[in-house]
Amino acid sequence: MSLFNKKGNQDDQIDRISDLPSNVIDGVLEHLNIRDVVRTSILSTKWRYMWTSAPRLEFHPNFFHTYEYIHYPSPVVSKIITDVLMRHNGPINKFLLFIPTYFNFKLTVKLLDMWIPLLSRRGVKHLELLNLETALSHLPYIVFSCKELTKFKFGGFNLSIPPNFSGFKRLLNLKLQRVTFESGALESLISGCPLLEELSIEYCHRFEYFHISTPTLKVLSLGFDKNMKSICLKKAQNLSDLTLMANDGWVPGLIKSLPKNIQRFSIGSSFNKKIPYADIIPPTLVKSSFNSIKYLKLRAVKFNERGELLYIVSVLKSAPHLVELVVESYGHLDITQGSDCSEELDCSSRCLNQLKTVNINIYATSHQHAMSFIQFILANSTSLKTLTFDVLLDSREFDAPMLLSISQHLLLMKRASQSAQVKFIH
Amino acid sequence: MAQEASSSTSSKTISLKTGDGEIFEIEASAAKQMKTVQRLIDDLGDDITIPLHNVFSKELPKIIEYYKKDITGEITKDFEAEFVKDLNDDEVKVLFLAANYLDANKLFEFLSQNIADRLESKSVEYVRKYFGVENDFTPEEESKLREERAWSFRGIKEDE
Repeated sequence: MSLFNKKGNQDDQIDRISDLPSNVIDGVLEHLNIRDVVRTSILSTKWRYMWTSAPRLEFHPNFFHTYEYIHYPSPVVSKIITDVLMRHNGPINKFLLFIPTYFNFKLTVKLLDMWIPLLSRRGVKHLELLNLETALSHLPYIVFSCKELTKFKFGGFNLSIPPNFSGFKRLLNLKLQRVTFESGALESLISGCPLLEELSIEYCHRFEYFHISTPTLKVLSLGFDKNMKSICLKKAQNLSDLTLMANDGWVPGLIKSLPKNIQRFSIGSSFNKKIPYADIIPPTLVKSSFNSIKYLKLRAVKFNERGELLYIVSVLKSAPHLVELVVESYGHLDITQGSDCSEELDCSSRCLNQLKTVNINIYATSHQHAMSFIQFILANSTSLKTLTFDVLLDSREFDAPMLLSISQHLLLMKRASQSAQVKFIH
Repeated sequence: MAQEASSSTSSKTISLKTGDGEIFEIEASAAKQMKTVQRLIDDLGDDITIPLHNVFSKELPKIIEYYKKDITGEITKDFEAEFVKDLNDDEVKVLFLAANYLDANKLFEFLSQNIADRLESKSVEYVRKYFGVENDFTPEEESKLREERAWSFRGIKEDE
């Protein structure tokens, strides 16, 4: 067999990248930044047009930064982008424009009217338009004609929906950042995406109600400010991964309903304005929706408030299938207030039977109060594998004996799970 | 190696022979990740030493190291950074070509990205040498192209 006879440099061995088949070369070109990709056209006559089939075209801030010294970079930059798009030849999977803050370049209707149809003809699937330069403008209607999109991210625009919007019928993933909604625009957009599976909304304005009934939605990440009045999710029947983040702090009664089969749930808040968890996720909500939760992340937990601690314990008891828990407390608590932390929490109910992994991340000032919580976890988790206690130190306050006493205390705590490992990081 | 009646490959090792005659062992589950190797196993059987005449003893151990980590699910960004840290550009290229030959997709993707990172803002001559390309432009053609594409030459250190 000829296989066994060949060794060393033979004619059919590919030892030069340039001799690789073009689809393999595309694999390397795909990861090069836009300038490096286009520059390959000068390598040789063979390479002159190879870049034109690179499936991803991305103009990141570092591309725009090189033109910062120019007063009116718009004509220069738009000419380059147009040139690249016109010369490109082949399917374009991803097109990204990320205009950095304070860069004097407006994504005008005129420009997008030129670029979007080109992209659409090349079957663009993944489109990202991020416009962080100061003045907001409307997202040009032409963007809504990109029918083949499966992933769409945009930011820094006013959103209003064109009257003849027929929807993004293939869209699976939608991300919005710093968008201001005209009345009804968000609802129209979402209802135009019948296959939507992942939705992320962050730092958006004029956003007061979030009632959603998209049956295909699986993952939702929602960030909102104090204008948000009502969040109603019970109709999103397949929603299993939910993140809610209140940038300004929560309003009591904000969450009207949660989906029944939620499996991953993460709640966050700006620390100072946070209200007790009993008001964020009231008992009725916990009772109806926490039964299926496997992963829970609670941020801005006020460990020094006994009411808060007791409520969280009761929440955990209502989540029998919980496998992973993350609790964070990165605010500075006033530890002169708050209750005596020497009272123990109920350590006999063995209620956390599925819990395997726990992460507790805090600022050092809360450590004493967190300890009774850790004690509760260790005593009740029969399947626990790892508990990580990560304490961010303010070096003025801490010293070796203090850390040692925490370690010792942790070691002495009774454990329901023989194989539980406790990691203390500082 | 005794022939196993069942087709369980969980603890079986495969012998690979490099182009320069050295033999290395690899777990069958790791071999599965390299489609070329798997095809050879399917054709020749898993008891025979699989010949890889285009891969040599310098690079195969590194590739085996990568896939050893892969089958235990331990490939992290830190591991990948360490993996290429002490390799020079040519060594990465050799690994990349080997990964292509072995049809080892995950390693290929990772090395593509690493090569792209290494080539960032490198001069045209450097990239020509790296890719193994002979410049066949006339001086006029080349200078015209450079002028047209001047924007893509910003920030490049020409090293001639």
